[in-house]
Amino acid sequence: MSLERALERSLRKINKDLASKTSGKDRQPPSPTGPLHLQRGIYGEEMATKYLTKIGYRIIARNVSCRHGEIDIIASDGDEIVFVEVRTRSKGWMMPPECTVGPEKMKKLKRAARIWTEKRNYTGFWRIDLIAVTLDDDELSSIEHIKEITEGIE
Amino acid sequence: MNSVSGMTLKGVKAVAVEVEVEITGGLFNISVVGLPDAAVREARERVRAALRSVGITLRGRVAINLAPADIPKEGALLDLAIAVGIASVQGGVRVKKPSLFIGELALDGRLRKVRGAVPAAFLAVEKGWDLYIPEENAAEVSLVEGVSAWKVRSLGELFAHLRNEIELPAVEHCEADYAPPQADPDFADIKGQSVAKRALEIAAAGHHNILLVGSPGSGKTLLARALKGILPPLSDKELMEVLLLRSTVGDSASSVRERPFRSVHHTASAVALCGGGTTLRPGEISLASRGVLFLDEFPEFTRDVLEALRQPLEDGQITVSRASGSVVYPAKVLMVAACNPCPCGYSGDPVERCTCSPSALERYRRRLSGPILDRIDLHLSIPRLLPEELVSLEGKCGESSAEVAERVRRAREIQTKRWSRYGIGSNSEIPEKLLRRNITLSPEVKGFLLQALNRVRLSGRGLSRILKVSRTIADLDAAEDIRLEHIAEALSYREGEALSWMKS
Repeated sequence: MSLERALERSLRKINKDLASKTSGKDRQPPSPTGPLHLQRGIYGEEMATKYLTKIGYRIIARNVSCRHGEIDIIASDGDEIVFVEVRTRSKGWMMPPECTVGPEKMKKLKRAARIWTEKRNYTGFWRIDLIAVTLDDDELSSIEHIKEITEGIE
Repeated sequence: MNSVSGMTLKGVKAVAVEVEVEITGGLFNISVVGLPDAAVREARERVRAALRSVGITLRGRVAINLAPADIPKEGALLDLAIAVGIASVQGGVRVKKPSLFIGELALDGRLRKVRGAVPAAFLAVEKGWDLYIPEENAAEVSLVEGVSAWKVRSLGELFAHLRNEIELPAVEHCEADYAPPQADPDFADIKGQSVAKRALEIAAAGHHNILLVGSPGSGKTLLARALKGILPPLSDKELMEVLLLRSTVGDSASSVRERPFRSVHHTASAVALCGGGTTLRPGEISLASRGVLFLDEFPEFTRDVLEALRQPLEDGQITVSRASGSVVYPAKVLMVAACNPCPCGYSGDPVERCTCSPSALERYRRRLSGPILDRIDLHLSIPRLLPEELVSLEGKCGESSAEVAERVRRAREIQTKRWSRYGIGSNSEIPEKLLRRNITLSPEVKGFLLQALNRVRLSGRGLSRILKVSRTIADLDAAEDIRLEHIAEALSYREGEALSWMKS
């Protein structure tokens, strides 16, 4: 199956799924009044989505969850599908956001992404990116985009 | 049909390795199959970085198959072939002719020198393929005749060449020139020792093994080093053999026609000397092939190391067998062994007294086995010089190395002319049946030889070695037949007083 055709088909299915989902039952939009750290997380994902749109990625889905975890943003970069993990941190934290994705999280991300692609019979290229959003007093301070966080070479 | 090939070394032979690449969708992952060793598996990192430096980003599942699958692949020289294989699938590079690519990649896409460029060149010539090599390997490859090779400095340049955008510089064939080695020390600088000098001349002319026995400070090591200055230049055929071996260990010599001279310390292991190891590398005896293997403090070597030399010294080649395979390396060495007559070193010395106990002497002698001594053609005792000789600083001490080297070269030419149709280059290599058929002795000489054999016990091998040395002495004289004096001189090196201490 050629890449273009696979992508087209997969995107069509995704859109159909999305349409059915939004019209469907209890999909709670993230509450703007939850605990502070959750609010910050939602804000960070918002910023990341904006950033991705700005650099020309097409957003396919957001907050897709399955048994093995949640994927924050699914976007397409040309003929490649990008699964994006967004990490939001306030300035002055001990660890920079990109250091908070450990091997366990990575395994979960890979599994979730694989299930997502297999469900849709997508056989093209895909990768997992990390977007690190740093907040300064609840205001956006910086966005860092790290491509291809999986190693690929053991 | 995939036309990207790399190669791996099996002994001194290059084996073509076909590089097949498949890229499918999915998460990025590179896997290499086909018995890669650690260096080949690590090529993934180098190749990925190098490809990125020329603008090719790898994605998806990249499967690299190195065929034939059952031969273990070793070394970093497959990097380039893997990179080109990937680029021909993904990067819009087309390899039109079957080609052989060798080279180690740097992370920024530059190419590094590899070992095994000469075997690769032979393989390319044999199969009629194009060869792409790192620029630093060009000098050795240029000596191989009939190879169409290109010098590659970086991956970017190579891809541009394959896309017909630029033309890489071709490797031009050049003849190996001969610059006579700098004699250091020169024969003219060595005082006295005229007998030793003569024996070394014979050894160099006929490629005969030689044993130097003498007290400490008598000049054994000096004489052995001086031998380097009188060796004849390598012939074309020998040059290729030496070049091949040097290339497989990544060793490049300054003057290409110079014979190898390997000095081995007595702590060397049998593997270091004979070859082997997990990845099968030639040992010192093979690296010294067609040249000199110098073993100083001969009895100090462990016994199994010395006994391991017996077979290669006789056959001129060594078969190294390991679990990973068996290979044959050439081992046509001129062995120079040096030792003291006893542990304290002064046995037989006219002035100094030997302080060794009989049991110590016995132990020392037992280290040198009969079979190994039987394989040494020239046994030589090096006396210590008298005080008067030592202090005579002015004046020359006999001929210079250049004069002796000229005589040696002429004698070697005569031998090469005589034996070339049998494919041998020097008197020491004459096989038994040729020896019997080609060497005729006059009745007078035969009678003398018979008499000598009755007096001294000589093995069959001992006799044929005497005949070979006599042939060399005759060649140095440019004599057609072996005369009495030639046989007598050869016998004197064999059964002279050098080893008298062995028998007491």
